[in-house]
Parts: sequence; structure tokens; C-alpha cells
Amino acid sequence: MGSGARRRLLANVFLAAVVFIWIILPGVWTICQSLKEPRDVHTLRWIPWLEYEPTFAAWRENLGDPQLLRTLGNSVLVASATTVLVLVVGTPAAYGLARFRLPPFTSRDTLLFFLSQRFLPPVVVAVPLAVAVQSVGLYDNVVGLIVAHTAFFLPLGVLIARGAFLDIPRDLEEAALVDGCTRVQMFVRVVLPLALPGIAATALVTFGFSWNEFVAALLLTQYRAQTLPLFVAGSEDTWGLDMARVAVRGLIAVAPPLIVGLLVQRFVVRGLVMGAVKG
Amino acid sequence: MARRDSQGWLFVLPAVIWLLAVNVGPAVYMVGHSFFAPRYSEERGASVRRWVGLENYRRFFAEDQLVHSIWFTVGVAVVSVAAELALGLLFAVMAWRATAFGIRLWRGLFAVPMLMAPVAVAYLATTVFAHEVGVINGLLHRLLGVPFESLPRWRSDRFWATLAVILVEVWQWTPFCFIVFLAALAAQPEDLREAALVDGAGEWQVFWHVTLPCLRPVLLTVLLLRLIEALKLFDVPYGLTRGGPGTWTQTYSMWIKEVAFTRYDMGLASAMSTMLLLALTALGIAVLPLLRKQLAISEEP
Repeated sequence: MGSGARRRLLANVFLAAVVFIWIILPGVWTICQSLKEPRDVHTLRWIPWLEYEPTFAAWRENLGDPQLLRTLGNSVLVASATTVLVLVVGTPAAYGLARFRLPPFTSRDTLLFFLSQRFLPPVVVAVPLAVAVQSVGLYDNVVGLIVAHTAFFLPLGVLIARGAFLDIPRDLEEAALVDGCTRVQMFVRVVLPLALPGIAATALVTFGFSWNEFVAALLLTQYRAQTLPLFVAGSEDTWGLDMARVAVRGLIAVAPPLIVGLLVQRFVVRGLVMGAVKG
Repeated sequence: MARRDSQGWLFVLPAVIWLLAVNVGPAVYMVGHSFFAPRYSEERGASVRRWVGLENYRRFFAEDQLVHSIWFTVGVAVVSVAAELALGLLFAVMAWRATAFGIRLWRGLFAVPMLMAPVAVAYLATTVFAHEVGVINGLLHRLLGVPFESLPRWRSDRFWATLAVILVEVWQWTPFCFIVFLAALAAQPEDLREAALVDGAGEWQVFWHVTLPCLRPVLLTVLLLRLIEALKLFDVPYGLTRGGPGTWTQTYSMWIKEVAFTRYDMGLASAMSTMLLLALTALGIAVLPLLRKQLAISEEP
């Protein structure tokens, strides 16, 4: 299979070139931009020390910005709370969809209801929600954003978790019931532990989507409850867009999901693929 | 197990209620609101809602820039999703035959764009597309010797601004197509391919007549998912072009937000929301047979 090996090598070289242009080059460029002084930002120079004198001014300025800490804290809080709520509300629903017929509908029709939610444009929901949270005094409050995010990402979470439950053999559950477990005990003690990889995937994907969400965060918050994507979007000042500042804020905002995603790639990929294919 | 089937609702109901309250409720409210306009009431000393029929819809179609955003949004969605699917499939086929380590490596590196916040991607992309000093124009000028006057004007020219939005979308979501296709290719039964090869079919024929037909359901699902997401496009033009030049790259979703909270014209915003919901519902009904078939493959309790 000499030609097979050659073809494999060629494919790998091609992919390496694509990854270099697609991922590495923009990544390095962004990091370079973040180390530049204002006068160097509008130049094509890449290599620090050699082509320009690097400065950590933009990093210092932004890391010392109290609004960064605030938005970072809000992002952690909103994404974590959304993940917990999606798991608490969503995994039982996923289990119900995987195991019960749900009269008077079929479980497939009920699943279609969950799928249909993915058609809903966030802005159509967020505009009236913004009016609603204003009237109940939850505007610019993380609680309002958490409630919205949970509704936004529940359907995807339910789909991913349902896939995990479908993979568990039913005999195990029946054995647990015969041994005298109640249904809830069986769900908590037998099913959940077995579905743990799928549930981890659900949690990671939900966390990532909530962390990156922008439309609802833009419409439901103003200052106190702002999340990191809004901190990036607020990079503009009266002088226009400060490129070094954009680079620093952008890097900080994308780092956490990137690091987590690359560390536990298997789960994230599993979640995304399941959410796409089994849905 | 089938005996106590209605018990299943205990598991499902909380999620259904949450979605009805937070997703469906507001959407339905917007539909209802689209037939009303505020009016100041003398007796009550406050503004009250007044039935205006289809007036809000008439006002939408009277405004060219709003109607333009329909074509812009649909056009960008179709072009970028087509490119994402084609490139994602190409890269997946390339990576498919790699070693297990290779697959993990390419998949890991390629996952980077879709893990990033779209709005952050859009802001970071502004330095790539900047005129004269951006990466793309800089390279065009230095490597290809394109003179400054004829460099693409990514921010101020309608065509180039549209292309910039499409490129960022394709950059971010091709990896999603790649990863899903790669998983689908890896899950394919190998014996079918081998049988075709043994029967004397060439590699290319096998791909065209065996591999691709097997991928069809996955291709259709990804196409649908990406199309839905692309039709809601908001973050990328918001950060990259601010909807400019003028309002050329202002998507439909961006207009809904602007009409609602900059013009404070809830009636018009509701009418726009209603039309978007109608369009997506039509799309949903059109693909319902596909979805049902897809779900029939997975197990039915």
C-alpha cells in the first residue's frame, strides 16, 4: 500500500496547511496585536522584540479594570447556574423522552416540541423578555439572564442527554426495579451514573454556549450583570477601536471555553455531534 | 414498563413548562402585540394599546432598508452555509484516513473557532480586515503587490463588507461541519466500502456512490441546523461592520433589536418578529418529514 501511505501523507500535509492558515496564523496575530503599543498596532509587524518593542500595557490596563473582574465573575456565575439548571431540569426530561411514551402524544412528538425550540430566534424572545424583566425589576440582574439562558440551551441539552440515556440497556433498569428500587432511586442510583459521560458532554456544551451568548446578554443587562462578551463589545471608546485592547479582551473572553474544550475534547465533540446527529 | 407511561410526564413536565414560559410565551406575546400600537389616552393619562390591524406590517414593507435586510440575511446564510458544508466535507474526507492520533490532533485544533464567542470573533476579526493595515490587505499588498488604491475596502464597500461577514461565519462554523462529518465518516460500516472496492470500483466511484449516499442524512441535518443558526445572524455583523456601510450589512435580527430599543417602536419590532417566526415555522414544517425520519432511526420507546 505504498500509494495509500503517500496519499495519507499528502492529506496530512494539506490539513496542516489549512490548520496553519485557519487557526495558527490568526491566533498568533491576535497575541502579537495584544502586545503592541498604539503606534505599532496599525502595522503588519509580527515578531515581538525583533520587529517592535512589545508592551504589556494593554494587558495591565485590562487586567486592572474592575469591570473585567465583574464581567468575568458574572460570566462564571451565569454559565455555571445555567448549566446546573439545564442539568436539573433537562436530564429528567431527556430520560422521560428516552424511556416513556408520554400519552396522549408520542415521545417523538414531544421531542419535536423540544426540537422546534431551536428554531426560535434569540432576539424574538429576548426583546419581550427584556420588557418583562424590566417590569419585575430583574433588568441588569444575572437572575434574568440565567432564566433566559436556561430556556435557550435546554433543548440542546435535552437532546444530548437523551442520546446518552438511549445508550443504556434497559435490562439494568428493570433489574433495579425488581430488586426493589423506586423509580426515582433507580434514576438517581443506576441510570445517572451510567449516563455520566453523556451528562458531562451536556454540561460542557451548555456551559460553552451560555458563556458565549451575546443577544440576550446585550438586551437584558446594562452594567452590573454584564458578561464577558459585552466587555469585548465595549472595547470602543471615543478614539475608535483600540486594537490592542480588543485583542486582550477577546483573548480573555475566549480562553476559558477554549482551554476546557481542548482539555476534554472527547466530551465536547461527543456533545456537539450528538446534539447535531441524534437531533 | 409500558404500563405506567404517563408517569413519564413527571420527568418531562418541568422542562416543558420552563420552555413554554420563557421561550414560547414571549414569542406569542410578540405575535399578538404586532397588531397594536401605543396611543396616549387623555382619561387615563398614560399610553394605552390600540388595535391597528396590519398597519405595523405595512410600515415594514414601506421601508426599503428593512426589506433589504431580508435579502441580505438570507443571501449571507445561503452562501456561508454552502461554503461551510463543502469545506467541512472536504476537510473531513481528508482527515478521515489519518491515524487515530492525527484525527485527534486535527479535530482538536479545528475545534478552536467554534468554541469562541461569536461576538469576540467578530471584534478580533476587525484587525484582520482593517483597510491598509489589516492582515489580509497587508499580505495582498506585500506578497501580491496589489497597490493601496485597489485593495478591498472591507469596511466601506458593500460587496467587501458582505464578503467579510461571510468569511467570518465560514471561518467559525466550517469546523462544526468538519467535526460532525468526521464522526459520521468514522461511524460508517467499513464492509460496504470494501465490498465495492473488491468489486472493482475506483476510490472516487466508491466515494461518490457509497460514502456520500451514506452521509446524506447527516449532511441534511447539518445543513438544516446551520441554516437555522445563520438566519438568526446577529453577533458577527454587530462586531465586525456595525451593520455598515450605512445599514447594508444590518441583519434582520439586528433590525429587530434596533427598532425595539433605539426607535422604541415595539409594534414594528413585533411585526418583524412575527414574520421571522412565520418564515422559520414554514421552514420547520417543510423539513418535518426529514426530522421525523431522522428520529425514527433513533429508538422509539
